[in-house]
Amino acid sequence: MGLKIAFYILSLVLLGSAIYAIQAKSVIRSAFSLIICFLSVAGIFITLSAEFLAIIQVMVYIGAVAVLIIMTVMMTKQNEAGNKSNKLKIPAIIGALCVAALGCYTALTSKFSGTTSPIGTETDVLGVTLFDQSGYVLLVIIAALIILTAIVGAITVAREK
Amino acid sequence: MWYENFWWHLVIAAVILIAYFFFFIVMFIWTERRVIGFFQIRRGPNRIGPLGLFQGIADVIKVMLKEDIVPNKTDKILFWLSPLMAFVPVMMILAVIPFSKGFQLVDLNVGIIYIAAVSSISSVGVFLCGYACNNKYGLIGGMRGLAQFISYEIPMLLVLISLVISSGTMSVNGIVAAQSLPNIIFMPLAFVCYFISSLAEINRTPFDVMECDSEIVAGFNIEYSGMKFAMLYLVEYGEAVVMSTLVATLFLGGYKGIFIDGPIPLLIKMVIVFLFILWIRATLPRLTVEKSMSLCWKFLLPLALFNLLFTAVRITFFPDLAQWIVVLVSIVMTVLIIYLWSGLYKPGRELQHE
Repeated sequence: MGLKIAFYILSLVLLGSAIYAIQAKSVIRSAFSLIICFLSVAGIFITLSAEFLAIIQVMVYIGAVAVLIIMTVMMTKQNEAGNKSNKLKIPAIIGALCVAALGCYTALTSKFSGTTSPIGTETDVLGVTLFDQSGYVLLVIIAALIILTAIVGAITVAREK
Repeated sequence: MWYENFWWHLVIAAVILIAYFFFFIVMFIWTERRVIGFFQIRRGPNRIGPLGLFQGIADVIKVMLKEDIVPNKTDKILFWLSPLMAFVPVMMILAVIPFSKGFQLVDLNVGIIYIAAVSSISSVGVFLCGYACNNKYGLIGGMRGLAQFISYEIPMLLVLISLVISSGTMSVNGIVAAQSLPNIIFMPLAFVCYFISSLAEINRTPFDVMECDSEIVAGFNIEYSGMKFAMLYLVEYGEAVVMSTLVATLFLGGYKGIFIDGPIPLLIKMVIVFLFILWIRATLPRLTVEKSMSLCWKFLLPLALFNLLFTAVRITFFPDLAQWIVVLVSIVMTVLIIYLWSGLYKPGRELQHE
């Protein structure tokens, strides 16, 4: 019961802040409302007892992505009234309707199969799955190498000499 | 029992944590003014109440009665919301700290990551304060604060990872339980890195470039007055309370005392850590922005990486080593590596060459 109430409140906040993020005239307010949106997504993860996922959501999306967005906003030109030359309203509506139709179709036809076996503490299972030798340790190392390459590349591009 | 009920536990623990938070903020403001007065050979507040103890309450009343000025061209919504966004996460960090064996608001099994994640929300809030007031000094202050926070988060997280490796758990309660001896003796290098980077994260004096009076007036809080300024002041001291509690919990053994276990050893350790911060504040001058940054990237980051490697090697290859050998090797290694590395690294050397 409590979980259901929490889910509905969080969903309301999530939808409201997402709509405001699109609607707001000022870009920085959109960024702020996007942060609230990310927070409520983290809250929904907690109601599903996926604590690790929720906290990583907060760390990555608020600690990194939101900061990146705000830093980028600093470099854009402030345009209070929105883009006046925007004539893409009708294609946007058609696109949104298509996505909504696809989403409804998927939601109505899919089976939503959950696990039946108890999985213990979620974080432990995740750690064992990722780093055990019979798990995905090779993929984790490959992903780490790709990120390292990206960092080295960024430093090489950004260096003055 | 009635107190084992979920909701009762939640309400009582939350009330105790909030009371702890505000009580120690007021006490820390008083302590800071008295101790800094002592360091600077003057008296500090001494008129209101015994030893000036009620000065904090008088300040609170003054701030609440003040006019709340909202400048004309600010972004009104952000101007109201961002102090709250900076303030609330600071208080939320206390939720995972164990105050006694079994007394904790919630024992998250990802407590360490929770601390890092929640404190990053606060930094965004402080930056938005600087942006919302539509003032260039405010913006520069917020920008500096955010850049410093992002940089110092890296060595801090690396140190936390080494703590997790050596304790074998991510729960804060588990880390306290794993400290048969305080972590500061096992990993002095980790303590040094963590302490310096959390000083920078909470913007205490050697690193308070974001509110540096001589360059950018007051930084991010330049346009704030009345209750909203009080909120930012609470953020500053609340971060000091939380950081002292964290250092006491993670490195000084938490609620484990020499004679008794419980909240009292934790409080004593926390106050000692805070007095140490004050000592640093009274001793060191403020770093400039580029020196603060290069201290992080060129000094702390290599040390934190080395510490991570050292801890991982110790846990992987020598898990059964006697305690005194580990302690001895760690201390010698810490002294040696800091001595060697500080010979290589001189702050401001780049400027001298130009």
